Amino acid sequence: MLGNRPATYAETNRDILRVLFKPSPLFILAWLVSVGCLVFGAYHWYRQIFWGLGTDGMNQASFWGTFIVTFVFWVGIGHAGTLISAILFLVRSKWRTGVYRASEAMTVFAVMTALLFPMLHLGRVWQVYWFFPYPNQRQLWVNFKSPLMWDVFAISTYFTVSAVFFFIGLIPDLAIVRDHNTGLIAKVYNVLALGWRGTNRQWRHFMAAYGFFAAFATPLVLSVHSVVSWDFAMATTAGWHSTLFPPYFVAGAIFSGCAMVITLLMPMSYFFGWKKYVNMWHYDALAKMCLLTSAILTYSYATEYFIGWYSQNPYEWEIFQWRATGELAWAFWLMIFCNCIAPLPLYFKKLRHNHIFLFIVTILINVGMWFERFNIVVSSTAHSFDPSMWRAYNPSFNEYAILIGSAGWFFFLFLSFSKTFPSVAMMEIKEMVAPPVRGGHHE
Amino acid sequence: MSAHSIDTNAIIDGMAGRTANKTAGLIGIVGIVLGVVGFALGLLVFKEPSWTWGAYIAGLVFILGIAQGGVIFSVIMTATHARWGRPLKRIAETFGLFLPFGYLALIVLLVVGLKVYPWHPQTWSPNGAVDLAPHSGLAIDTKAMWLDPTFFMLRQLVAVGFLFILDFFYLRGSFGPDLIMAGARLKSKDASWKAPGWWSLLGYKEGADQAAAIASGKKMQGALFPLIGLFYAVVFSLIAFDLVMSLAPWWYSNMFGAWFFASSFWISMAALGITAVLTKRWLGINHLITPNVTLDLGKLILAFCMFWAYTLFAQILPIWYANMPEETDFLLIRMTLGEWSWMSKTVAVMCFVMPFTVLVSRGIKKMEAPFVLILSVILMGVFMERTLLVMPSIWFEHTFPIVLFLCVSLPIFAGFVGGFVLLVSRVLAKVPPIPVSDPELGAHPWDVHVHAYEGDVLPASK
Repeated sequence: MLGNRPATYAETNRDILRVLFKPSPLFILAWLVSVGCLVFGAYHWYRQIFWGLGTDGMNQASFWGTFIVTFVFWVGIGHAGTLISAILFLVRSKWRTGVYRASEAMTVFAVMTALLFPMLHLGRVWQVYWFFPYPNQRQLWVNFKSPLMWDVFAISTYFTVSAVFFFIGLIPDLAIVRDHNTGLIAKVYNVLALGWRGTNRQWRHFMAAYGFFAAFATPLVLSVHSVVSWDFAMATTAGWHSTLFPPYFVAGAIFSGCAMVITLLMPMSYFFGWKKYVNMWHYDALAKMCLLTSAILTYSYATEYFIGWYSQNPYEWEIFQWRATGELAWAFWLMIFCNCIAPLPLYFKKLRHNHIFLFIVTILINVGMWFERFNIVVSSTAHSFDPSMWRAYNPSFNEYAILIGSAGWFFFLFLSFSKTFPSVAMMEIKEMVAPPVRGGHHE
Repeated sequence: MSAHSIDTNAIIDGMAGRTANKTAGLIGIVGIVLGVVGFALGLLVFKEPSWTWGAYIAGLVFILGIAQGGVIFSVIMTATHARWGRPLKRIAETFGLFLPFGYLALIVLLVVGLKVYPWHPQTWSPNGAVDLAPHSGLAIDTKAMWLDPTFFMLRQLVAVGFLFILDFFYLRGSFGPDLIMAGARLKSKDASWKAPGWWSLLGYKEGADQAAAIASGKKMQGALFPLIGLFYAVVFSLIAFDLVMSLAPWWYSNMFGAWFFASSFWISMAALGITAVLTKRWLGINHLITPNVTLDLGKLILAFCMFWAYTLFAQILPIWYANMPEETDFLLIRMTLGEWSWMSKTVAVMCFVMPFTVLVSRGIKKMEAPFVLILSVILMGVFMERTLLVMPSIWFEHTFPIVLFLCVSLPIFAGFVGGFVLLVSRVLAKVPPIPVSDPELGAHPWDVHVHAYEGDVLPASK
């Protein structure tokens, strides 16, 4: 199923470039809402800096609250972009063409959003440079044995490579934007396009670089969320210490990332009139990815429970029982519903092809994935080995406000991008269109 | 012809005079004889039932993984509509026909050899049965219930049997239309031609409507592939947890099942690569198993090689880091004790270092001899890995019994491999070696032609 393909190169340029620069009232409204959320979150971060971490609901047992939950959530969202752009490129999958540019943008912006949270969680944000190893007058060195430190390297590497890969892929399309503009705008895009002329030599280097970065980024997709999972799995804390965590976290990240791609692209395709470029062919493939990764997550949840039961380790079994029956059971069952049950109807093509149903399921998936991290992060610390340390954790208004602010930041970046750069890769769309010929004949 | 640019009639015509491959037959029979001799030596001469049945478990789980992995390869081709691997699909499916024999071998283990498990009340272990009672008054008593011999036996038979039944119907959906198509063609060329009797088991009906058979076969495969994928993960995890992990009843790793089923699929692809390269001329599909096909298969094998190492590392790292006694002993025995530590290092080299280094090369994946050689190294490496998982849990001597390994373990492994080779070669001699009725056989039209469209015409050059 291919959908209605554009007939010509010119039509592709026209359709994609048409939406740049001139925002509709609806777009302006969406952009203002995202900026509003961002300002709302930023103000509450300011409050937290001013008054201290006491403005949040974290306590002595639950020392990792929604900041770490949301950090893991956004890192997870940042997975699908590289999966779609790099891995599907390497396996020559054709459906990636229409969706990979927006997915890459989503990846870069999601990781930028995630990177805020270690700073938020730090409290004393002005000391964030302590994360990085360098000779200093404090005679201190970062603890390389800490998985949290591995995270710093893993995520910063992932961000760097994803951003470079994203930018390289943009170059030929930036040149097209340049060629369709004049004056200062053309000059800016000329700089961004690095003087691209589309010569054979440039294309040869471009394709070599693109293939190289695709191969380079692929293992990072696996490594970054594996390292994030080790933040938990390395500890002896019951419910965290699990050898299955790395692939289970990676699958969960791809699950939420693919769902987010659908959530973002469906309205974008509708409002920008891009049904030729982003259509049911892509949604169908992404929905199947969600279905597969949902099955992997369900397998992982079941395996964790089985091994917790089989191990006869009282602490392990206690935490798993408590998650399903304790005071946070609502979060657990919400997670099960959203991640394991809600995607099941996608097995049926008719429901998979129903836009509204699919859109709702993708939102449920992302709600479920946030609560999956909530279950992992919060429950194990709130109900750890020593009953005297069992504490309820209730996120404060400040934390919710910052969570909303992070969504505002992400959508602000994404919406701004969609009006400034081509969100569909024109150069790859053209690979599916017959090349223009001189005089109506191939030469 | 449905397939794009592939002359399927010529492929079917090539079946007419094909006889069983003598080399494969010889390898198969010698392997089976070695297996029987090794098994008898272990039980009757060395009188080591633990080691003998341990070797049997290692060989059984190895060969079951290859056989089931073949079905999974076909399932993945169906699910993804991938065209690059279609010429390999039938060979992979033929692996799946070994599953009934694997099931028989599993029954033999469960009925005769269950005492190899240290938790069995009448275990052959010199230390007697392991106490399964909880170590803490807070814990519930689950192991005694889960590792009850009758329950163990029943759940294995039911779960594995259920998966194999699904496989059987799936394979009928794939073989059936091809056999009907091939039968009709061969009969039309030679009226005296008769289909082998066992074809009917795979869905062959003389004179059946080909178009209807293709449609129903496609429907059957489409309906069953998600279920097989799902149950493969569940049942092979159960095999891993029960048949292998429970040999050390107090040790657990929740990655173990996933690691096991992923590596089973990996070795199946390695076996597929070897079989395809070695049989393509005999089967008359040399022009279809091109260097580009082995290149793509090699990339997938390389990816799974990295995945094997990744999942192994992901198990070792948290166990090493947390350093909890109930987890570390399993690793310490294998990684630090005497010859086991050498075996661990050998496994790491054969399963990761060598394949990774070699398969990174694009050229080698296209060269027949080096490709077959490195895939053979992977198969031997994973056999040693399975041995390493099984044996230290049931062999409590301080020295590695090299004589038992050479005279019992290797021959039993050869027996399973021999049986597999014999069956696969016999079947391949009599069935279409590619899925001739598959509409997705051949290159995708997009990859063949680029048609010009009107209306996007540059001015004529002057």
